[in-house]
Amino acid sequence: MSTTTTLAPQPVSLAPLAPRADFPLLAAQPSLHYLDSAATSQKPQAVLDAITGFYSTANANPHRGAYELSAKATDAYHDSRITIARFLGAADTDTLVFTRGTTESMNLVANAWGRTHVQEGDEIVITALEHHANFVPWQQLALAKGAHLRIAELTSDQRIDLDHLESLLTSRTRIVAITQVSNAVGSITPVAEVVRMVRAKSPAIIVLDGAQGAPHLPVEFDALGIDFYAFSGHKLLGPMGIGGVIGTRARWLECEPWQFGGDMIEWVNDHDSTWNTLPHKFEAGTPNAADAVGLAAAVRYLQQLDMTAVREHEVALLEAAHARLSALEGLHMYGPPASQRSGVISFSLADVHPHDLATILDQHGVCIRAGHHCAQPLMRRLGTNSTARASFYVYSDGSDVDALVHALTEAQRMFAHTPA
Amino acid sequence: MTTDRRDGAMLSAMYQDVILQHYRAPQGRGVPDGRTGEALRKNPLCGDELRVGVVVRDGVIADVGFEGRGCSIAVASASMMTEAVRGATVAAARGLIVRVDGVLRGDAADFAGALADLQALAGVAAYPQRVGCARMGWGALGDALGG
Ligand SMILES: Cc1ncc(COP(=O)(O)O)c(C=O)c1O
Repeated sequence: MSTTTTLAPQPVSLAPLAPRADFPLLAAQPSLHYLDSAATSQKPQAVLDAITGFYSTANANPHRGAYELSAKATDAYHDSRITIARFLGAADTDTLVFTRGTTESMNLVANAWGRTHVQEGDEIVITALEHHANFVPWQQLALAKGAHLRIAELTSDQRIDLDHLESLLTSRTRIVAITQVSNAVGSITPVAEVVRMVRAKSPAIIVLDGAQGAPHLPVEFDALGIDFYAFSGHKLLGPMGIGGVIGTRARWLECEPWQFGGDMIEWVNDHDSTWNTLPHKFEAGTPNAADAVGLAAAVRYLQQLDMTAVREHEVALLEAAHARLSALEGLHMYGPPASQRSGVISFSLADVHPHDLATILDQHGVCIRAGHHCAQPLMRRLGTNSTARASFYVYSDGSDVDALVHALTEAQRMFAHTPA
Repeated sequence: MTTDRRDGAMLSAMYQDVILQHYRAPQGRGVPDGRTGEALRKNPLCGDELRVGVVVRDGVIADVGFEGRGCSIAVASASMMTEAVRGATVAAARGLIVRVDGVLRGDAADFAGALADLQALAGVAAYPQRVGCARMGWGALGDALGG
């Protein structure tokens, strides 16, 4: 069976970009190798402090009280919006609507814009790379409206097949919803090319799933030329439960509210109501101000690191990991080369099911994800049910790569060992 | 969570040789022809699926088999299941499904004789994320037997 790889490997000498001491969980568990940042990132102390700070110095319901404390809460929430919108390159900061994250953002766009703009016989274009969050809302919108869902297929290294995508675009295409970076295999979408294609061939709006883009690449919403950009705070060092969607003002004006209640109204009469303005029109109910403040702290932390440096750090890790993993017999890596890939390595190891790998690696303190990564349409195209996935972030370093490789050889050894 | 609760002994208690043997050379591969019942179980966590088919004659499981992809725990457990219930009465098989379920929840296991291999499933109970894997084949058997 497969041989044990016993080349005395050179440790990968790559320092983390962000000190692990800044991350209380990593600092408390120095032997932990957290390689599941694509699922959610760890949080720096600065983020935890910001959340605690909000609750201990500014907690009141934003927008509602005529007293100073409420004004303080409102300001903290408002300032967070500005910080986050600017980080993502949106100058018109009120075009950032807070949500619980990418999933809610996609549902918002599908409901607020899709319900009124997609008719029977129209077309919605997505790709085979999509996370279920950017797949199912469109599938269901198409079903509800009698529209056609078109799925762009992939190249053999799991990039979007741009020729096929182009061939799907028609004058009936109303929405093109596409991921900026694949969470399952890491492929980076050439957004500028896609935008050019869509604008040339169809009147469709372009919705970008930035759940994996915002944490790993510099993003300039205003320069992208798209209509909506969705993201999740918890993947970019922020807390769970906050994220958002940025849209152009023109598109927001075409949207109908999708959730109703406090804050989103201007005036409520007995039998009708009028709506508040952007962004509040799409933020019904008490907002998640504390987590918005936490996310703003995360964004400031990333700005200090510099997003170009974040990207460079991940490419260095990817290349080191790629070289080491290529030496393992029976290991197959999915996805494009590092230059077109974010810090995700999706792989399979002959004879060892991903689920077994995850359990055995866990034993060695290495946390990886095993499964379909919420991308079952992609798994079907790969001809598998699941893959193993290791993903990096700013606190990842060479020792994580070493631990991964070591644990994989242990798993191989365990499964190669022929029982008596 | 990761390292404190588990030690190497727990890992080898799950990945016993019996499990690995069944994984490498599964028994009861293939859904039998002339089946009187079949059922599919999916594990939404990992996307794996197992299909189990049974041939029941006069209240006895004359043949049983499974197909599909799964991890070592899913495949080994299904393989053991086919060995354990082939030739058993439907009532006995149902009883065994309940017993195995209990063991996967942490009940003490006391399998012996022809059922001795099932003892190995006790090691899975320490890994809640893997219990669903071990259950797939047994769950599908229960469904295939109806009710
Ligand atoms: C590419 C992609 N899209 C969407 C999502 C959904 O994000 P969330 O679960 O934060 O709403 C994720 C993360 O799980 C993702 O990786």
